[in-house]
Amino acid sequence: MKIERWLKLTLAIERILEVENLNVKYGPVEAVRDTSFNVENGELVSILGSNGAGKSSTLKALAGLIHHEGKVRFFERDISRVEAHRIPYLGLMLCPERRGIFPDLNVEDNLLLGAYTIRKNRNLIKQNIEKVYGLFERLGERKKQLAGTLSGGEQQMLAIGRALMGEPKLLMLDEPSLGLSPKLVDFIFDALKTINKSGTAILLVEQNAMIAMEISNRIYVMQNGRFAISGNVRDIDFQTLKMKYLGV
Amino acid sequence: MVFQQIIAGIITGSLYAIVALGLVVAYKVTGVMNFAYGYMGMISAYIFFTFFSMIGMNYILSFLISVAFGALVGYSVERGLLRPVRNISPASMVIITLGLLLVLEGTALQIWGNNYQQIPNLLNGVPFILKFSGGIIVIPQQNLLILGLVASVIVALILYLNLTFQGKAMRAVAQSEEIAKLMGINSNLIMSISWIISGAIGALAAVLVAPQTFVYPDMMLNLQIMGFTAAVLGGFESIPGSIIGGISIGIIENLVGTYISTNLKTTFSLAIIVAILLIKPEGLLGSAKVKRV
Repeated sequence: MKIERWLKLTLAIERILEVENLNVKYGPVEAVRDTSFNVENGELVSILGSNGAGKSSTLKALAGLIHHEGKVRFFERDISRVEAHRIPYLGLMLCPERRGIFPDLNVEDNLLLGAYTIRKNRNLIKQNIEKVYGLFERLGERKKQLAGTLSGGEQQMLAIGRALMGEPKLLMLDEPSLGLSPKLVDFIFDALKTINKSGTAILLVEQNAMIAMEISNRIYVMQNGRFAISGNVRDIDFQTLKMKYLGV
Repeated sequence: MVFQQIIAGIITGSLYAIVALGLVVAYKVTGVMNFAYGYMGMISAYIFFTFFSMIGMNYILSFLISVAFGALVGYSVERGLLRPVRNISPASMVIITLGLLLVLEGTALQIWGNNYQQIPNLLNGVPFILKFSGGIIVIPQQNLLILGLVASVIVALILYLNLTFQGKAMRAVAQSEEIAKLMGINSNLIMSISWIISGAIGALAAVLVAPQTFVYPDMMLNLQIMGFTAAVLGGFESIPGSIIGGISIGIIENLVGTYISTNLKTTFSLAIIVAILLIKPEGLLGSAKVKRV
């Protein structure tokens, strides 16, 4: 019940995610160093960068999966020490790298597990499942198919749909374009835009900078665990970005 | 004669099947091969013996207490012995269960001694007799009880895993603990529950088999080995695999015992199973692992 009351309080807050001096270390290796950023209500923010820049580690840290230092405030509440399985209840959902669907469960069961945080509310679940099928018709056609037998694009749709089932306030996505054909990437990113327009804030991590910039409000470019560039997409100097991003 | 042996094989096999099932549930969710499984059940059989034969409590009540005790043992072992080392060394969890086997055996010896204690069947009425043109089949009532209870446990487990949110969460944790957490599933809790279920099933198997084996510290040795074999034969993956594995071993064993040699019963059936696994290493219902990258 505490959570519900807290979720109501969140309506008035503009800065929904605030990260200060985030540090992630794997033994002696520093994956993320003193990184600070934020996400405002309704925004679509992208963290761009090459392989190993620390993007995934950032998201995993926010989701509580890996140990980290620094302050993470979600709707002004400090969540840096909240256990991973409690974070989705607060409205922060991570759609993991490589999709992370449950291959031996069928499409519908995968979606139901996405609604685990609202499992007591059967009507809401039914409603949300229909919403997901509306967004991704292919999933609706394959309700009873084992998720492991879906194509790469369908698996990505399933992963995104599943992440939406619990009605997150901030959806984090780790490389949704990975391994997909350009056509499918366009389709997925159109869907992300739609999701964002309907009011869900999105924090996206991508290697594919061009497509991510098309739909983002703001971007952060990460390099060796730090932000090299950040700003509004319209104000980013493309030449500088290319230099920093490609390391030319 | 053949039919009689096959029926007897199904009864023995059904016990192998639930032992396999209990092992597989814990293994799938927590990744631990529990070598102490039979011995955890043995303690529950002694609990039954203590409440029923020593204290003189009602049969069914003693039965329920011993199964509940099995659940408690399952919970305690996972929570107290395995979880502390889970993230440090998965291999040591297996060694811990081997150590636990010895501790349980020693504990039982200390408390109850190594006499063979007898516990009676719950049902001792006139056996069920089936006459037909090919011959006659006799099934003792206790065996029907075993079959009925085993079947109910299997059905209940299948319904739980497929229809409830918690059961689905358990299958999710079995596939990926990390992704399950991202869904908001408390995977530690689910792991505890899997061991509670596994422990209760082990206790049930022990109490059901006790009237035949008698109660003594090593009473579950055979059932544990055969349960493992059944699980391996079924592919160590699925409920149907465990059931088919268990029942086939039961039948093979009984036929070998009758037509070849009673002494060779176990050896011979294990040899047959080795042969099957040589041809189909992933087990009868196991799937060859193909991963899409």
